[in-house]
Amino acid sequence: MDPMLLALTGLTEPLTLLTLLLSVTIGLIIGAIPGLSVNIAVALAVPLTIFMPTNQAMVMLIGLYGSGIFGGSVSAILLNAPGTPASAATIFDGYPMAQRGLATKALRLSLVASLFGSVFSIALLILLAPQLADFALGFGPVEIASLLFFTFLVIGILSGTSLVKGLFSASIGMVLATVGSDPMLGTPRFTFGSTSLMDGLTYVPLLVGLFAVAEIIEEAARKFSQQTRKFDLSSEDATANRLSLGEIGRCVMPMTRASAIGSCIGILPGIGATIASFLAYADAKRAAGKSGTFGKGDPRGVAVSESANNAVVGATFIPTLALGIPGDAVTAILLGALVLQGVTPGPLIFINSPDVVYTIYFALLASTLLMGLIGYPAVRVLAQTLRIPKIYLMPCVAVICVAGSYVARNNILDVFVMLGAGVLGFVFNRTGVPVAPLLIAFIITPPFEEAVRQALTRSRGSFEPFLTNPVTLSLAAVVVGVVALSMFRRREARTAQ
Amino acid sequence: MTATRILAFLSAAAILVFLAVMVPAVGSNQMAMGSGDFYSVGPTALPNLAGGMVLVFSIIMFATSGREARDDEAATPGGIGLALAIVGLFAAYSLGMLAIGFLFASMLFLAAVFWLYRVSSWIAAAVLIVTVPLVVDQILRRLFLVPLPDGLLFN
Repeated sequence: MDPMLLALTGLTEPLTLLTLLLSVTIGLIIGAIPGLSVNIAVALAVPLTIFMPTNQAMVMLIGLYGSGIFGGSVSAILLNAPGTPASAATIFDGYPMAQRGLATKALRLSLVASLFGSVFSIALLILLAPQLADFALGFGPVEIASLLFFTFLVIGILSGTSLVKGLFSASIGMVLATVGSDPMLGTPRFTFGSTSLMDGLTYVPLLVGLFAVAEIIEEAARKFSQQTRKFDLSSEDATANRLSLGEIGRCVMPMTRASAIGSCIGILPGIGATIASFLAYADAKRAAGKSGTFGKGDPRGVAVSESANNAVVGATFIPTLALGIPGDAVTAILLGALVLQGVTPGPLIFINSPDVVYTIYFALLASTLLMGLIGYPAVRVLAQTLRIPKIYLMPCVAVICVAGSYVARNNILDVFVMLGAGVLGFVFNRTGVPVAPLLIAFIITPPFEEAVRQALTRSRGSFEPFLTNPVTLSLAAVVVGVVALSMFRRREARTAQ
Repeated sequence: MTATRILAFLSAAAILVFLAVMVPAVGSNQMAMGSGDFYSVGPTALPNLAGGMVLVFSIIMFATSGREARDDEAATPGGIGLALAIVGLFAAYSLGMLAIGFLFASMLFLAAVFWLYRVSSWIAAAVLIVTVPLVVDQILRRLFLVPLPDGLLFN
């Protein structure tokens, strides 16, 4: 059967459709609750996907991802606190709009902008990913190793506010990935005689710990304190909160620019939706000049922030699918989930598993559509989720974390790995060390090691192929440029302070 | 000393042990297995590279985390005691799961957390204490056919 038709048939199965509906709904709710980010939602769903067919698993994770990012804008607008970090820039204008009695309008505009950004980046994904994969098909071990090391450096440099902390986090991820059998000779490394560790640290407990458990510990440290909602949506003026086509039309150009920025950021590994929305917001503010009312409740501020962060969603799949390099923490989780399904992302996925690629395309489109259908009438209902007390919610999430980590391999060791990762994630969050580079480096290290060792075996230990390869040299030049730019920006920021 | 400096110091100390004791042990293990002559790069190459990078970045982080680190940490609240308490409960829960099974361990964990952090309504808490572990257990057992531990005491 044609792979596109196969993917479409798989997606229209009742169970898959039900999964999509549930995941989009749950994603909207989890995204809306401050403290439960989209990363946590996807991380908690991964253990369940192990027992699902690939199309159902992908639909579940993608549904949570897209809708979770939009869900984050609900608390950003109503509480002045983003549900997910990606919605942080939405606060600047969303909250002032809510203060003026336009919270429902801000939420609806945020949804429209999210749909716009998602569709923009999905179109880009469909156009670019196969081309990039086609180019990458000619890569040998030298190019693959160079590309993965380039990713390691870029995620370290660009994630978070400090270059050193980002690289430190990525290096820790690399160290953790060395646990288990060595990929070429099978020599046990740091297994302490335990057969459970021969396959390495399991990915599921690690990500559940880094994202979910770390957040539970953080919330516990804050005594599960809760911000109270300041606005009652039912008492708002319905006419003033109606979103007209003219208002949407005025946002189209800023949203297009923001979606382009979000997509470019999404393609680069390790940067993520938070930076994309801030960059798009700054760009729109600059473009508006003195005529804009940005920061005082300008609807364009909400629109650019939300379209940029949702544009990252589709774009992050471009390097994930074409090169096997995750664009951000969530695609790192998705990449791991694909591997658990027996599908290896990278250029060959377009040849070996085209149906999976189409499933991802369709799932992205369908979840975006469903997010619009459910989200628009449900913005007021979503606002109610902010009332769920964290003291009841977080301990229940902890139970799910423990169960999810255990079922991945039916091994109690994984629960302790989860706890260790949770403590590490908490310490990282407290010290401003970004967590995403650790996870991405953990995922890309095994193929990196394999490629380096294959390349060096071929060259009998000589590094000459690395020093003469055009791909390696080009990537090295890009890294030098990125480091220089990053240091220049930091110096500028320090001078401005 | 800032939290970042403590993290950098502990990481550097741990990675020195890793590089000086654990990685050489892998090397000797490989020699004992009698393989690896064909490969120009052995199983210790990556651990050495990764460990070396952690050491370098830990030292740089320690040396440079003055004002910047304090700025990062200023926004974060305290509550380390409460954080340690939940970690302790997690550890007890994980160990308890082996002895008394997932269901009872989860119920005890939830009750302990609700007591420690003082819930406002014990009725809501009681409902959650009973239903959440049961629902999670039943979903995994019936829907995904994955049993959670029953506990050594009940076997």
